[in-house]
Amino acid sequence: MKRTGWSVSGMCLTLLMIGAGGCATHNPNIEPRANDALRRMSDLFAGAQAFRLTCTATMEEPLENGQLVQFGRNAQILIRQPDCMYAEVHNGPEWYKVWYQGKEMTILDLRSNRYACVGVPGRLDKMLDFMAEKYNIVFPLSDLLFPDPYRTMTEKVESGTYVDEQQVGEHRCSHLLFTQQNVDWQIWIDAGGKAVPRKIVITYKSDPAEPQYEAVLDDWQLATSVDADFTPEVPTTALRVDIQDLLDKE
Amino acid sequence: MKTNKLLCATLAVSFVAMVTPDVWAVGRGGGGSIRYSGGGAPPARQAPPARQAPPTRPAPPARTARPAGQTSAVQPGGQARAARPAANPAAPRLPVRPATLPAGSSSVVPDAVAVSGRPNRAGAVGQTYRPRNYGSLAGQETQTVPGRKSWQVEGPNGGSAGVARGPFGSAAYVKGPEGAGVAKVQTRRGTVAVARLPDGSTKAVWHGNDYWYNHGYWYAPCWNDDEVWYQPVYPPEGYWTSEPPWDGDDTPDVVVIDNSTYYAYDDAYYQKNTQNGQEGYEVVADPNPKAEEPPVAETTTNPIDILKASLDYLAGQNQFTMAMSDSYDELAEGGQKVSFSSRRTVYVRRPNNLSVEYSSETDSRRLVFDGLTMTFLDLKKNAYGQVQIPGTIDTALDTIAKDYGTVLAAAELLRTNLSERLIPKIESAQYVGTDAIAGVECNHLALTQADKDLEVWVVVGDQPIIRKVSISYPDVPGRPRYTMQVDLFSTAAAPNDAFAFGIPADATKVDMTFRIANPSSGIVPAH
Repeated sequence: MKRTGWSVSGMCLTLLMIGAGGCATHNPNIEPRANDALRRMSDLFAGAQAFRLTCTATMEEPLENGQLVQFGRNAQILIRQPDCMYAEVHNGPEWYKVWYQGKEMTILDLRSNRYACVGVPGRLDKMLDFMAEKYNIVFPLSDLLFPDPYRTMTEKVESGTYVDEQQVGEHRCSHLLFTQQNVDWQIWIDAGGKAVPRKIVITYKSDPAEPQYEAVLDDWQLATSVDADFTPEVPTTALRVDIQDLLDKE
Repeated sequence: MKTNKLLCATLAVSFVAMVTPDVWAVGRGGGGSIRYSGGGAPPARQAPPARQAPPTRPAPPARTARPAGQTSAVQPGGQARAARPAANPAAPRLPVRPATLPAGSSSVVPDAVAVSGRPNRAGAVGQTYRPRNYGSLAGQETQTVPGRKSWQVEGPNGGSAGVARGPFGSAAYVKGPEGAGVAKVQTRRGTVAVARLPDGSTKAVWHGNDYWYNHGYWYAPCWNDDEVWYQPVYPPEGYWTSEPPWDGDDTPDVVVIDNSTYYAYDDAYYQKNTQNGQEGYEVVADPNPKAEEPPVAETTTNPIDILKASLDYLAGQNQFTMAMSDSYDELAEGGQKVSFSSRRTVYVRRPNNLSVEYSSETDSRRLVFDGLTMTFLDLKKNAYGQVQIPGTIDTALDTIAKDYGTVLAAAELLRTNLSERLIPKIESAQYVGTDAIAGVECNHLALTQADKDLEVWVVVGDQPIIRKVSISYPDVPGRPRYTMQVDLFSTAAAPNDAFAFGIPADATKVDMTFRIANPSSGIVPAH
């Protein structure tokens, strides 16, 4: 696919933010300062028709001896609302490319040179629900891709707190803590220019070991449109398999 | 190896049908989403068994590990940790965390709780928990809780999976809508035991022991709790059969070693032999056992060797500069983990010049040691203190740890004797695989000590630089984690002013003896 055609010229976020504002209801369990920061971020994404970022994440997973260790997952993600996505994912030695366009998703496993195609709903948020329910595949930060991210992220929040201002890389960020029934999550929202998330930590409390997911988000580009081709580029030598075969490992 | 592949394929059917299979790249099983948070963590990921301890060939273990599901009563996650608030007498925790209040009530979290649950760093004595000497690689911070041997997760569809480890190996246990059972048992040899033999297995008795074989695979019985299971084994040496032990159309590999002809089939070796006038095949020992694992691969993936090489590399540098980002969890009053961060630059010129620049959201400090005096400067408070410690960096670190109870987080990396201090305390070590840290390919090592789990990422290649260290404290409530990532490492000469700084003329001098001994009273807690 062409990945050079990214256009940021048509950015008019202010207008879109006005358009998107006010549609969400305020969760009363969230402190005003935390609420403001989260709302700023939500408005930014509700208005962004396209964005690109890199995500450097770790998830704690148990080894067979029970030790929880951090497995790295790095991804470059390109999104265009309402129905396009491209992601390149490195998960340790694993290497995947994912294309989503309209009603079809293609997942290419570059290590085994196999790929799978699956029919999915033709809208990003519906596609995410579908993949989560049917295949238990959860894309990181999918919370941001819903039409009203504030509502999606806060509907289960039991408390929201502004912790402090912290630096993530070079960026000053508002550090927020939210608690829910099954998870606690922390988010670092850029306090300078655009209110993009710079870091996210999720603690899964329903598990006694409380494993954590941590992601640092960088190289943000937001735009009102993107000139990119989301057509899958699958090598002619790749073997087409059922998605379940691709996901199941020996 | 054919054996494992076949077994895994059959076992996968039950495993996959019931729980989330494995973690898929972009976030399978709940990782990375707040919305899809029901899934918790994914089930255990297999470390490559071949990279664990070099495979010896012991007698089959008498008993394999108990499956986690049958030990759920002693499943330590919740109980063991919840029962240890006494570990932190200074920090009274709320009896309930907001998240466990009755659901469905709109006022689940009254304002008062939300406010009191807020982590407050300044003057937070008694509100946050921080183990002493947090970030120390070799030091003892907490006590061991016996019985930390299993781990369990619950899936979004009512399934659950767990892992138990015991003296002879580990077992994975799964429960799903269609029932429950032990998915597989991993024995110390890295083989996989099964509950039932494949159809068509033939029994063979040899020297009073029972064996079964099936298409070239051999099994011996083993105990799994109170049940008899079967694990793949090397066929019994000396066993003789008139029938070829391989399938009719199949042919074995013919190997000639030292003028002897061997027939190799499924990693087992046979020789032609005539008994009672009848021609047949006799099982013989593997004539080239080293071929199983090339010695080169073994040395490069031995986690202790990699760790030692990285520590020796660091200890062998006469000078270096290291810039790092730290992050660490603190527990809020409500039990939530809250992540804080700081940044440090460390300059080392052996044997006796050390300088540390430290900054966090609330503090900005410097430390300089010149072989005689250690000076602490708190730039926020505009105060400084000095202690006389003649000697090397190593002795200075020893002295402030012993006499003042202060350990500079990860300052142990500056010691020349870290290898001897750390390695004897390691109880288990695993090579996890390679992983990119800030774009640099690293070997990922998982180590356990009595009171902490350690992960180290070491750059692949002939400059084994440590790029990341992460320590978690499984026996501390909340299992907090400390992570240090090295953003810059250089062995070039440090700038001239790195090891000397001018104390501001208006700075207040404070009595260090008192300050260090009472960190909460003022300057100089952990750098």
